[in-house]
Amino acid sequence: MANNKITITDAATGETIEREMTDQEQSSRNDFLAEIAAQEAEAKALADKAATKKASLLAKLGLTADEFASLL
Amino acid sequence: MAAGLGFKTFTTGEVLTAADTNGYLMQGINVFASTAARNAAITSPQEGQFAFTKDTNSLWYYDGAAWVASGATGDIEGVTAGIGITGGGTSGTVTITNDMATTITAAGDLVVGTGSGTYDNLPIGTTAQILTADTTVSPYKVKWATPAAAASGLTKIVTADFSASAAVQISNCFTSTYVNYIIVLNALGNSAGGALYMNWMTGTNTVVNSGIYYGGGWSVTNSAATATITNNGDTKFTLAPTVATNLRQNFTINCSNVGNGSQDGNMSSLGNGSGNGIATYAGIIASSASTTGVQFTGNGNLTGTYTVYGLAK
Repeated sequence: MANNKITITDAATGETIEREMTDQEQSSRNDFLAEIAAQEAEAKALADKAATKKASLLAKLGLTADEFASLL
Repeated sequence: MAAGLGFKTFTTGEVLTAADTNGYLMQGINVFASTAARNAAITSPQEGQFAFTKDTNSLWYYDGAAWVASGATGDIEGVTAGIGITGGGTSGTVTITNDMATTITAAGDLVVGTGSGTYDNLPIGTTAQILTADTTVSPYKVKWATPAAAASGLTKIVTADFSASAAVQISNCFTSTYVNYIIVLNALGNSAGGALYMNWMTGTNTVVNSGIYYGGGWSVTNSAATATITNNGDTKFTLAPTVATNLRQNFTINCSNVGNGSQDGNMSSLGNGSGNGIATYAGIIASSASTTGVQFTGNGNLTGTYTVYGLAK
């Protein structure tokens, strides 16, 4: 699979070139995107866990979310 | 010379009288080898008499006092090249050439006066140069020159389009010419979402990607609560989080402490989405390495246009 494209402009000369990322650049980019994906997955898991816990508490109290909010 | 009687068709047996001879037959044009031959043959020319001389193919008439070249000869007897013109001649087809046109040797050249009635070719300058008067330049008194940096206001440094690029680098855009810079990203599209990252560059083309980026901001859309952005020793500035696939955004980024030696480059950014997203961000790098350029990346491929402006001191 071809590496991603990179666009480079040298402002001193005005010259713009396009080339494929080197393997090292592509590896660094892939690592970063994987790290971001992992962070997003972790955040989603925490949000899902909180939502589940909230639903569980409401069920034990026998209240809907709106009814619980009206008590606050 | 007798007066002409016009044209007559003689019939068979008709007697030719002296009046017929003088009035009809003597009214023709006599042909001679030269004017000398004509003068020798016609010693007493008559007013209104015509002659033709073959050496110069000239037609003459006698006006009662002298032989006069008839009006059948052209008024122009020659074409002489004047200033700025070459060629010419006195007979046949004559060609003249505009010398100014042939003085030009390449597209974009200019013909410039070098004195009274003289000129020379001024070769075209380089891209973005302007024509400037300079009386010290001989012999033109004008020259192509790169315009000086503006004393005030914004000066466009570089602009370019980019398409489907995972990374967009602008190297050597920050120098000591300006203290502050403004980068404008127009119609930014991100194939995988709205996340946009930014890195400083140093040297001629080195991306700073170590964990020394600090900053924060927030984003909001018309369908989600405000979200905070935090960079705490990260490898990039996060100008906008992922908010929508292919969201077209316009970013205005103010850059300070860049291009001016050993300073911690810092920036602030405002990104306006296409109607449903806004992101603000401010950040600084924990390094005093001189910042010379900038790189933009997304979590997808970027398409759009950037322009870098320098803000005069």
